[in-house]
Amino acid sequence: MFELKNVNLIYDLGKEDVTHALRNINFKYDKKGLLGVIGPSGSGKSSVLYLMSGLKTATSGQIFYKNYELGKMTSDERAKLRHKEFGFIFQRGYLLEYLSVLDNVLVPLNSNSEEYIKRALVLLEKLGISNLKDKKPYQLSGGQRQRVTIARALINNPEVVFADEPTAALDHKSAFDVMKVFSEYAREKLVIVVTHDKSILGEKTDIINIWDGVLNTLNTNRESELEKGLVDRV
Amino acid sequence: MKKNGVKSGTKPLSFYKYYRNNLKKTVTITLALIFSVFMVIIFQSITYAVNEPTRLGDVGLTQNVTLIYPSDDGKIDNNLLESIKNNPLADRLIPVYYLNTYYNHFFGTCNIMVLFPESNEFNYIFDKLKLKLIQGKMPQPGKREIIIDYRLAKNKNKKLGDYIGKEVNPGEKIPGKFKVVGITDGSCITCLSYADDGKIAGLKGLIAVPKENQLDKFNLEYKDTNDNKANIWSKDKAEKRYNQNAQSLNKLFGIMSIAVIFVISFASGNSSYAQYFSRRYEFGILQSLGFTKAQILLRAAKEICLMNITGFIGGIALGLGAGFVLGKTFFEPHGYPFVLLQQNALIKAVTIPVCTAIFGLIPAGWLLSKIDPLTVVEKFE
Repeated sequence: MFELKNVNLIYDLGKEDVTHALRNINFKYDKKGLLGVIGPSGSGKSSVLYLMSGLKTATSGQIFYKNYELGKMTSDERAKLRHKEFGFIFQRGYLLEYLSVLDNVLVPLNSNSEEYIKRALVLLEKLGISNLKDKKPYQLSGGQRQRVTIARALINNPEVVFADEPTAALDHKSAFDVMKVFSEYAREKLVIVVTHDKSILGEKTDIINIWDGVLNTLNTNRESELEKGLVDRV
Repeated sequence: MKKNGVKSGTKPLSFYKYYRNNLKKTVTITLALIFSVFMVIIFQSITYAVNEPTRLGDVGLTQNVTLIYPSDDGKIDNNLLESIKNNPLADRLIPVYYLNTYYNHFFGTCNIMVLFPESNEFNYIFDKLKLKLIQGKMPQPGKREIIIDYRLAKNKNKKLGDYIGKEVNPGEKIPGKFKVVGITDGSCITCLSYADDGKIAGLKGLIAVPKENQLDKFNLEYKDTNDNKANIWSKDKAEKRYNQNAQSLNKLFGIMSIAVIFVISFASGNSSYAQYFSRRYEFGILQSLGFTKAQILLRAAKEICLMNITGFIGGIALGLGAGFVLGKTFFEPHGYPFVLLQQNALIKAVTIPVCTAIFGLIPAGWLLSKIDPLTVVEKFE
């Protein structure tokens, strides 16, 4: 599904203080499920997410999603791809302040059809905030706002959900509930979660470890278990 | 609307939802537009009320006849007189005394011609001026009776039985006093009474009445008549003078309208920039969610256009409503000619939303072209 080849991301290129956000990132990931991207603060894990979702373009290297090479697409083409295939959750609950919770969830579809409203209500129910559907964002807590952005990211049933520190603003129980929703969604699709808190990811979650802009390890736990399972079966 | 227990309203990114949820911002712009369109309509109504009496009193009078005043020495050249008498284009040449009365308008007064034809020509000239008696009766010779236009009657606050003249109002130019016995309507504003065998101390002149549809040809023949022979006041001359006089007021109206358009366009451009600048966060989010710049710009364009259309319709509605009320309570009772909406004003009014839409879209488009979703989002981190 995703392949990154020699990807570099450099800020302030041509200036005196050049920042290498990412160096020579190479990996291929072609599975559904939950994929964790972990690393300390400032390690470049969010940058990986931005590049993979087409929100940023790499300074050099190639990023492939399915048959698309993101670097060769225009910003509008990447936007259309995001709209069709991706859902994105930022660190903070970015919402349109003048719209209700329900309308915010429906924004990616910009629809008022009965079917989509029902789908949005089901998502809000799963996230435990269906009672807030008519509230405005300024009436919500940080955790509640984050859950609205999660519902918004899932409303168009995306193939890939990118979540950048989705539980940072949540208490332990809420974080657990959110991760449960992600795990459930990851049965059918790919959910990539950036976090510095490894404990929110299950033990069987595949993990990309980024350290100082360099991909340290890609632990494909599920694959090894699957392989092990196959070996056992054989 | 509720379908199967699910409430469906308008689309989240619809103009209506933005407008309703941002009333403070949107209503201010709409009100400014409404007020501007309204102002243009009011300017036009005032200009019309000032210009129209002059047109009806001067140009209106020469639509079917040509007025002939004596030259500065008080005479009309005999050769000219003979020429007109024998002209096959002329139907009749009527001796008449000319006097003036005044008509009040917003910025001063204008002169209205009072005609005193000989008694045997009174009905003929009444018909030729295409007047219609709408109240009272025709005047009788020797009784110092007069018929006046209904707009002038309202303007001077005169009713049947009232008197008009220097004796009742020293500001008047009509000597003595004349009893108003009839009110007329027609395509010109004038007053008619009898010459009473020359007892009227007015300017003694003539009215040339060309034959049916021969007015222009007749006027053309006497176009270059020397002022020493007589002062021939034709339709063309009247129109020329009217246009010259009206031009200054029309210019003023034009300048005021342009000022309104400029101010509102400038304000709209600034307000649009401020509004879209404060919404760059929203645009950043939309872009990150996969909306293209073109889609976002189209949405902004729709918002701006609909807001302008709303303001325009509101302004027209307010202008028509206020105009109707003003017309009934102020313009008409004072005899000020009134028209609810003229083509000229409509064109100027349309210019307002068009300009504000353009000046609103330019900063919105410029801002959108600069927005990078991540930069916006990261700035808010």
